[in-house]
Amino acid sequence: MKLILGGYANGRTAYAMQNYQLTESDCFDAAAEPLARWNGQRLILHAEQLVNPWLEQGKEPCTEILPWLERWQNAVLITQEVGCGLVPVTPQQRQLREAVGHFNRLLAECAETVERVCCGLGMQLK
Amino acid sequence: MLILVTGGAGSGKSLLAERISMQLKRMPFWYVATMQVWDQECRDRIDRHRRQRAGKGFQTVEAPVHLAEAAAALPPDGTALLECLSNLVANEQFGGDTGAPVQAVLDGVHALYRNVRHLVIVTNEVFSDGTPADPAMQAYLQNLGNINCALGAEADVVAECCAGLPVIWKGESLYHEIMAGIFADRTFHV
Repeated sequence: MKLILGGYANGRTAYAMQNYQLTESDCFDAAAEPLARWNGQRLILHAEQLVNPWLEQGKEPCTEILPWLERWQNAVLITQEVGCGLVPVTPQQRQLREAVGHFNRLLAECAETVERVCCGLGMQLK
Repeated sequence: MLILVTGGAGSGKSLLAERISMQLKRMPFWYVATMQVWDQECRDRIDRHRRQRAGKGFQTVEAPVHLAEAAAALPPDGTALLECLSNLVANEQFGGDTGAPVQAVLDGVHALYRNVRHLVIVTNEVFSDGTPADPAMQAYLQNLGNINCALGAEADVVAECCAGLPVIWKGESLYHEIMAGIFADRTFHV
């Protein structure tokens, strides 16, 4: 599995498509569809959006994702870095931000390569 | 040559951009200021940056909106330091008279770049605090992000400043040539 991370609007999807020769039809948007609808697509968008629904169901995102990471061994995952602002106002937002940080660390640990994207450019971290 | 400098608040990106501009050694040095002056805090900030630039040979041009017009008034050649894109996008999106802030800013940048030898642009890393709920803020980040990506693709050097230290995303050897003072001036305009 290959992981691409970076901040909002930094051009991560375009970078992934260009560098891994992927098109719209290769995309699975984890923010828009339930995981059960994943059908072999090679590019997983918005991985960070998986965290909140699991938290709301009282589940542990870092455990829930594991069987999917098994299936996504040949996939490119895109996730968002969300931890560089001020501390959020509500406890729920604080918990979510922390959980996304832990979730992204797990993704990076499981990935063969990790690239960070800024201004549409990539830098290999792993 | 086109150089893009990004980084968080207080990371030292202004100072890095100034040092790069001066190391390019192509006079005159133009400082293209983009801040709309709203209050005392703005004035204090401008004063601080003016003191930081004092004695470095920059001539200031004010262009909070309509950058293309300000660029056209400059004599050709020299080096321009444009600071910063986050102001320009805000001014065009929230206060400008255009319905297309991304195009307005890119047109302004291109007009400026046509008129100078080297252009150093400061932008802002404001994208790693989650997706904002407010649609206007989301649009603002998307606009600034699109501009950063467009200029990142065009630029010869892209540097991120982190605690005063440069992280080079593009054009590493060129960056080191410039900072070592061994940069041979040549035409980069496409």
